[in-house]
Amino acid sequence: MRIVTALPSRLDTDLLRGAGLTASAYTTLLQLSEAPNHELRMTDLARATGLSASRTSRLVDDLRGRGLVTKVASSADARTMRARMTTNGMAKLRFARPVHLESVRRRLINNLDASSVGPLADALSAVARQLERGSRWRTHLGISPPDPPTVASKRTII
Amino acid sequence: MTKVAPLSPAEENLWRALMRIVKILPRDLDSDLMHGAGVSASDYTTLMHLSEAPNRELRMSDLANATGLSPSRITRLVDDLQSRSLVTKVASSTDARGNVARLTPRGMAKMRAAWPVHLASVRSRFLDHMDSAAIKLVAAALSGVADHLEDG
Repeated sequence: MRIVTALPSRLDTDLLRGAGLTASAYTTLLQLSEAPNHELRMTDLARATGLSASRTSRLVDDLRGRGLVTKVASSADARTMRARMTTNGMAKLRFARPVHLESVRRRLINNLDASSVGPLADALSAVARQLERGSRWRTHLGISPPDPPTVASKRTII
Repeated sequence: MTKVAPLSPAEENLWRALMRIVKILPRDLDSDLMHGAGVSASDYTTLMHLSEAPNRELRMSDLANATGLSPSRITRLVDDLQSRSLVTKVASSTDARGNVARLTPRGMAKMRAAWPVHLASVRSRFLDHMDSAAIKLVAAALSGVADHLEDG
């Protein structure tokens, strides 16, 4: 659990200090940079970053205020807005990338045994897939998963 | 900016998997606790640290350190727990300036009720998806990483 809370906050701090972007802003720019035409519908952007629709909307407004993103009406559907990355946004991302990479190396990779990286990646990918399956199921059906079974066992600190 | 070596495919896989977990797992654990025991994950962590402290009490600053929450966040959280009679705030006997948060019997009962819910949630969301060798590997590797994170 220490990792789950501390790692994102350290990466966020590193990015903010080194490149003036939060981790959410960085992820948003990264997703746009990989999209055709450097643009995405707001709903697709929210899905790609895993952020809520309202959070994405505020984030894009903030990035727009800094000239890194523009909002354009979709050519296919005038009611739908799309976020498009500007050249300034692209330059910002290029600048932030090595900052983020250095942070990932320093905070995570460098503190692992090289031989454990492969097996660790496999184990965690399996967990991530299961988690995503559970979350998708819940989001799509709008219901909670069945109550977890009550476990009587020795006290452990988690 | 000095040149940084790009991630190898295995490193990249590890990174992406970890970020997916970091994004989803806290939300799932929080929602399981909320549904099953009526406490948020932050509530639970706060109650747990108090339950383990001598006299079941901690100075607000120590509680913030233990939970990893900001001082302002912990103040709001303790106020909320106090309004639910799970915690009381008392003046510190050793430090007149400091407030101490103390777990009430009701808070202790809440913690005891929430604990099996949380344990089942951690098992079904996380541990059940790995075999024992993988759990050992992940525990050893990630605790090393966590130790370095705390250096700041």
